[in-house]
Amino acid sequence: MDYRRDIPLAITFLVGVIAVMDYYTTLKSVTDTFTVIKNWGVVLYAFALGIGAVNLFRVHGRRISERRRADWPFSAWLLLMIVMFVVVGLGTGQFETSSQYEWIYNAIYLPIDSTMYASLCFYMSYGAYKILRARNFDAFLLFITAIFVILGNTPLFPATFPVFFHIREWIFGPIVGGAYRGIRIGIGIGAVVLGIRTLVGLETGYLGRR
Amino acid sequence: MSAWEKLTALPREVVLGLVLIAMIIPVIRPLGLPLMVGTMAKDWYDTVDALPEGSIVLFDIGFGAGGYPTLGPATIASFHQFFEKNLKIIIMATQVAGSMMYPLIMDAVNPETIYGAVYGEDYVFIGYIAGTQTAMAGVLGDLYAIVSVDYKGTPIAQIPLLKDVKGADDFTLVAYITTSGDIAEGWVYQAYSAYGKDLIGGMLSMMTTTMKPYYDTGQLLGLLDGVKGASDMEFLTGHPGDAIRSSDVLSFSQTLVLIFIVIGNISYFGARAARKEEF
Amino acid sequence: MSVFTEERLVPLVAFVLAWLATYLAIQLGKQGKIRIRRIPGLDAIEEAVGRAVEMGRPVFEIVGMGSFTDIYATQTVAGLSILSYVATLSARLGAKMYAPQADVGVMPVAIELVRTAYTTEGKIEELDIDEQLPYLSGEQFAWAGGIIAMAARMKPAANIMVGPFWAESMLFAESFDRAGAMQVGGTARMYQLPFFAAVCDYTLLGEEVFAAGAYVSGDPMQVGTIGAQDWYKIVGFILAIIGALLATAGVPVIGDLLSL
Repeated sequence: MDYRRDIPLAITFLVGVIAVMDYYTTLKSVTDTFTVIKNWGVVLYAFALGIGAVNLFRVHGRRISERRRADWPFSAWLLLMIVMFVVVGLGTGQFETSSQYEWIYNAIYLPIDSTMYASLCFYMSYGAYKILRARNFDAFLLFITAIFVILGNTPLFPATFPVFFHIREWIFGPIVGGAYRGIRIGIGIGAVVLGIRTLVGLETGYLGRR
Repeated sequence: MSAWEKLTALPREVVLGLVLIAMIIPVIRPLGLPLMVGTMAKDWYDTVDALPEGSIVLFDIGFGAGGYPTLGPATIASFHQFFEKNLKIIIMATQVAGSMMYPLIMDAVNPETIYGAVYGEDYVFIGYIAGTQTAMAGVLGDLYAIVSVDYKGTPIAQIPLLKDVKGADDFTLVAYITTSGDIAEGWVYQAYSAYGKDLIGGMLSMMTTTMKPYYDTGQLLGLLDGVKGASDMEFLTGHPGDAIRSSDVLSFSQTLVLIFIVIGNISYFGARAARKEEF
Repeated sequence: MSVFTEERLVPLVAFVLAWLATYLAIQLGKQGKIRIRRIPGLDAIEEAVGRAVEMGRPVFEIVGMGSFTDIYATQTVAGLSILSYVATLSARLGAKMYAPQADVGVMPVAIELVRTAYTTEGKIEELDIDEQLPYLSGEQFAWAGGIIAMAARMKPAANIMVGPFWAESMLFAESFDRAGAMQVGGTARMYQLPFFAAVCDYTLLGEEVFAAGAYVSGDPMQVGTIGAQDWYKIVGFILAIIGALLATAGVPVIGDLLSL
């Protein structure tokens, strides 16, 4: 018996069966057992949070001490920010209810996060220019659809020519809606079969290929 | 490299630089370009407008800092409508960062000053509740089992608005604005499928294609899609803000992207024709 | 009071039938009676790693931001199967693989997978966990920013992204394309599929992500279960056609039956 493989598989099977039974049955014993298992999961995850923080301090601490990489000052900045946010949040109140924490969050994190999200626009613009070329029939269909969707999405054009709005709505309705539903059905079935493979111990990729 | 080939492979810096300029111009000098209010936003507005005064709305702030520029204006406009209609709002957050967005939104709406609203009587924020669909099921199933204090730490039994609110039956409408597909679809499963509640949802434009089937089948009574939906709401509620200003930016930048796409295709076929001639 | 949860009778029956179908598929798979088409995206992974070895540039393998406790756990498991496969290939062929992590619960599993792969190939001394599987951040754009920066610095020759992705999918696809990487992208999060389909060289659409682990294993029994997936899809297809026709004729019997 390969205990490093068989024990995790047995645990996976047992917990999986309990989870499935909890969903499909109303047995109190099953619900209570699954609640305990879920609580264990929460505790395990809480410990795992510490791993992330320790890893960050270890990796970036090493970079600061070695000073081999040109970007080591950023590692120092990262650790400083982590410490500052934690100290301010814990020291002044319960994080989001602390006005000081709110201030540093709105001054530092909010603009950075918004900027990263906003940068998507530039990636999409260049991607659209590069990709939407009618090289063949399939690409031509994609090109035409994209043109009409962009025309329908741009506030200026539907306001001037309402027909663009209706074309966009039609594309979103039967065409995109139908395609998405088909893909979604496949995804649902695929997830179920993967779950079954995992429960019976066939899918062992997450344990390493033993 | 021929002129056609150069046009086919414009440097990234040129394309993005021009897009940036196209965005900056309407910000510096708003042009007031026309916009057409979409049916999805109109349906959101009409759904809320039809609610009797004093109805209780459960509102989920399901976005964080990244989504605030797009969805913040939609949320602010929605809250203006809620307070104008004298609706009671129970606000929650199913995203951790949502509780950081709450003060920003309330500073912009300013309900105490503008509408004479009173915290605890007209609106209350019960904070972030972990678990996404578990949180939704909990709030709709038995609020008191899942929440004991509000955002400020006040026991909810002492909050006038929450005294008699136990679960789904006490909410007239469930509304959410989110950047997360889990939250967007989660509310459909938990509020509409499980309890048959009236439901309206706001989200990023890229999520509209996936969520629109729910709107088409009537599971969502209204849908705000990204900046477009936000600008529609600002227009409908008569509270112009960042979204209407952004719609000019949207018009300019997307028109430019369209032009680049057309240039890319014309130059592609031009280059192809030129290569054929050489042979 | 019924033992079974209300309104979940049909899903339960469907689930039981799925088990039976999977069991049958495994038996047929053992006998070699189930063959599936090639999935170009998965076949291209070995090509991508080989390209990286030839060019002397690294391979990136990104499993996404999902965890084991959310609804994307199945995609995360699928992504980890591919991580194990890519780690094995990289160790065997001599490519340097990087797999930055975003979830603290998934990270220990990923580290163990990669360590096992390198140990099996006898290359454990070439693995530096801290450098090759760094924890970047649990925050979406902090993690994305870190990976984009790594891509810009290291200019990988191959980027394999299989798992749950959010808005960062477009950032990754474009950034790695700019770095000159051959890309295989796969996710079952439909919001992000268009970005992968548009930019990546090969894309795994939806259910192909779930079939990935079975496909790359080459195990006949696992391949057989992919057949079960397809049988179910055929049943769904038939029900959809019949249901749509009947509903159009004013007889919504299929919809009512499935709502039991």
